[in-house]
Amino acid sequence: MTKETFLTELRVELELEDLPSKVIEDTINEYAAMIGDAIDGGETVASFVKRMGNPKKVASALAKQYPIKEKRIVAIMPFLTTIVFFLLGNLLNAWHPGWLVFLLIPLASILSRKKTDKNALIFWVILIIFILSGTFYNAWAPAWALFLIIIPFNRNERTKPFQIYAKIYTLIAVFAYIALYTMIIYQSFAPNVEILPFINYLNRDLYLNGLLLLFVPIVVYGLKSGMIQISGNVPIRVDVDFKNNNQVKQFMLNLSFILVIVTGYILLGIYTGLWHPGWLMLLIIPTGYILFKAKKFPFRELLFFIVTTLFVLGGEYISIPGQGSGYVISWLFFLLIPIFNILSSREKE
Amino acid sequence: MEEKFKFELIEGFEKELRRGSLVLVVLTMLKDSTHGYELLTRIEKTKINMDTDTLYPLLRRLESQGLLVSNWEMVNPRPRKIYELTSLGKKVLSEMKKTWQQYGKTIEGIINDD
Repeated sequence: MTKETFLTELRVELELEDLPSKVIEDTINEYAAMIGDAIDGGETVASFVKRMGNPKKVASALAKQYPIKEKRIVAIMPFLTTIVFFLLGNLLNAWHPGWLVFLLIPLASILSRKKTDKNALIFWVILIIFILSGTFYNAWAPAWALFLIIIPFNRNERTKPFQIYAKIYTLIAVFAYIALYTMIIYQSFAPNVEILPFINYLNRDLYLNGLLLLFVPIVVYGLKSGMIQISGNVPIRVDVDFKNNNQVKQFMLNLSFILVIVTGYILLGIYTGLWHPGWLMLLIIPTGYILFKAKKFPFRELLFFIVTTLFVLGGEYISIPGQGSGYVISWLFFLLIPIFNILSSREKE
Repeated sequence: MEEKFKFELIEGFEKELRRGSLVLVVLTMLKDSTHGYELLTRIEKTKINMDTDTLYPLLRRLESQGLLVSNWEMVNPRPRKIYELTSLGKKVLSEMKKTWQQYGKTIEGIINDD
């Protein structure tokens, strides 16, 4: 990290904290002077950061000295949405999807800030699109891909060189996936339509799964940039020292485990046609690795995989009267993650 | 498990002590007016283990409480923000020292009698 990148990141973080302009300028100038002193004293910017904290930490600690008054619209939003929700429910019997109005609470809070946190805004907008397209068009399946858009929008030192390409690729890949997925499904329900003539009912699932390959570069980018983190656990290391016997042995063992699971999945798909939700068995790779490494049952690390499995199985096999699929409610399983985090976190001092 | 719990308790205790004494340390270090980096170096020399993101927000708080003032001055080779105690800051520091010494004596008495 250079002095300039530190100061640029600090400015962004201070603006995100909605601090007054004067405080931002003053802080930037003072940190510029302090880093200058540190460098003159033979220190590196990295060691200065170690002593004085990274931009995010500095901004968040400073923000506690300047609490923002909650805007009135944000403060009354819970009451307004409750009124609208009950009116929609009682007068129009629209309890569902009327409950969506509650999403206005976090949205109002994000939008009321001078400088909006792009990641948070993107997440909530995508969540709303996802729920609406699922609720009204039963398009839960391709719409989930929209969440991948969040990955390249993360600000990070390591993402910078390729960020613009990653953004372009992700947008193209996600929309191509949704378009092709929709075409394949549409075609299989309307036999007279032949948009993609080589696809028939028998090979449909193979192509639908093949489309997922579009996302491999996004996942690799996410892992490389640190946007996707699996609690520091990775099932297989790519930087193996082939002169070190132990590392090679471990690498071969992990690789064999992955190959067995992937082969099992392919065989399951070919012989039973259960490509979906059979892909859930691929989750055995990271969960197996996490379980193997852990000394006690790693519930926190496994929660994401457990919830994903419940979401997919619930979506596929729960039947809701009057609804196309169980995904209408099974996405609620994801709320277990913040609930668990709140319950297991230490109380704020 | 017990070791970990013990370690967490001691760590928490040290953190509380540090938090309680940091204002006194910073005010004492500012008896002679100085700039941010020099202050950081002075504090580090005392071996007080300070959380990385603590100093700067603390200076802002002490300034808003009227215990110190800051002014930009040209100190070669660059402008620096110089901090100095106000008369209120000096009075508070003097009282804090007395309180600390008195409290220290009381605690010493308690643990030595044990």
